[in-house]
Amino acid sequence: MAYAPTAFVAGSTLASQTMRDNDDALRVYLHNGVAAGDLDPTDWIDTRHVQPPKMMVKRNVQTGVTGLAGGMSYRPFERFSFTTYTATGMSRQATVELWEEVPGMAMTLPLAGNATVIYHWHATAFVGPDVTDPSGAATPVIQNPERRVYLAPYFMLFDEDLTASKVDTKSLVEIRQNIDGFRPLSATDHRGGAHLPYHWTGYGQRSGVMIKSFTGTINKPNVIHVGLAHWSLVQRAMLLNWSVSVEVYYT
Amino acid sequence: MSRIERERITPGTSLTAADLNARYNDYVQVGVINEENTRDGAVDVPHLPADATVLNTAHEAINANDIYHTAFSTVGMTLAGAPTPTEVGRLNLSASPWSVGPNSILRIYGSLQCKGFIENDPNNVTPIHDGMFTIQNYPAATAVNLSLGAHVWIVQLQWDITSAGLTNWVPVPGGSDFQSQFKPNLYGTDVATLQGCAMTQAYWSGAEDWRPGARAAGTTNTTFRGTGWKNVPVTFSHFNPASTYTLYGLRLVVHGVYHPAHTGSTNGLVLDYNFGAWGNARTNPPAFNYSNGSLSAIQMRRY
Repeated sequence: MAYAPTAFVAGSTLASQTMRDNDDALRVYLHNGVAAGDLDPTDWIDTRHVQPPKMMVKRNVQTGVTGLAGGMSYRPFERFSFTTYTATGMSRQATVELWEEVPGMAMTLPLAGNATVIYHWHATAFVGPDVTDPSGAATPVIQNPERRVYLAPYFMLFDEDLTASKVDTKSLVEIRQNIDGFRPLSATDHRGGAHLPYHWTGYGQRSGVMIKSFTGTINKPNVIHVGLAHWSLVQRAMLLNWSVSVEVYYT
Repeated sequence: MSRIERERITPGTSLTAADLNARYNDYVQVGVINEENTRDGAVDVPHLPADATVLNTAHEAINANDIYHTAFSTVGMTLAGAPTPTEVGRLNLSASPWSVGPNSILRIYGSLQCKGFIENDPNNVTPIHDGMFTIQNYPAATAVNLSLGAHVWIVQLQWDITSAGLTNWVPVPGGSDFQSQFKPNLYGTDVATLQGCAMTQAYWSGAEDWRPGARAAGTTNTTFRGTGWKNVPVTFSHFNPASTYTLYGLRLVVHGVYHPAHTGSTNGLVLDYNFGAWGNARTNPPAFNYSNGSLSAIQMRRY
């Protein structure tokens, strides 16, 4: 609503009511918001005009006008996390996906509207070796010689449980135990181990990116949970260090 | 109405209609409210229009969701001449192509599950060529040929900014098409022109069995294998292009096998036509196996 004051005419009586009307109209105009046409049509909003982002310490995320940003990292030798089925208390089969969250790699994001979420992750993994039988047979038999640990990002609503459908398996990476399986104990030297120990093919740096768009399909309090999941077919596997970061842009 | 700066009315000043009108009309100016009239921190989420930062987003899966690799695809190596890039997956934007202008940032992320396949020993074979060298065997003083190693497959990002029919794929800026000879009769490229390219090793070589008993018995051999399944990440960004172009599609292609080469002043990669087939019948030439993956792109505003 543009402002249109009553004009005064020279020689006329100055009525206090006219001035009050003009003042009231100006008050309404300024309080209700100026008309779009009154704004300078060029780009003029500067950084200082934008509301500063707020840091949510517990979530390690800052939320601002254009979206959210955050990240976490763990340095080597200070902490590590198992990506092994034994740590989850669950047995496993080679053909049934049992995804579990990797601790410390998830972020909870309160979305203020439709958004594009970009989740970056990086990890250094150590996997196996492992000689146990994924079939659960009483007598261990070496099976699935290229046994793997799968890592893949996931997203879900804050209060949901992780299921296979929430894992973005298109963005998964895998880390093998070794090549050609595991050699059992030798009857002569009483030692066993990986047949062909990997050098840098079997473990090392792994990274990935997941991009998701949320366009009104998220309900409840618009809080989503993104992180990294693992599905391990190896008894002994762990992440030595890792980092995640997230970018969210409102769309 | 850029900041209003009008003298205050002071006692003794005559009150005129013109002065009163000027004071009220200060607020009637059109198209002039600017940074001088806006307080710090005034702009919040509701004030920004849609697509304030992200202009376009697209994702596409590559291949079936085959995380067990039970139905993987295969790309053969180039055995002669120029490489023949083979498409492994694409992101088709032709139905609603993106206009990418100087104000844009284009970010692309891809991931492909893949592995190298090899049957024949890359070492101790003939002929000697650019990727091999000779050493003396021990204890027998015979010559042994060894591969230089470092053989790689290249996963390369291409785009089509010419045709909605997606028939004009070219490497993204900074990437070579590998259709020129880096050295005489050897197709390849300078390492400075590898933008949009990712590499994965063509084979694995190492010591077999670390058991002490096995070593004592002389059975510890240097051996080779194809590499196991792993993922190759491909990332590329294009920042603030000089002129606007229309992006119709993106795709990943695979070609190889390459190994390092040097021209005296420049490092490069060249095709190795003999890789993995030296001294043996080429019944199963080395190959590139791939399974599932993804290709994502996002276009953002620069300002």
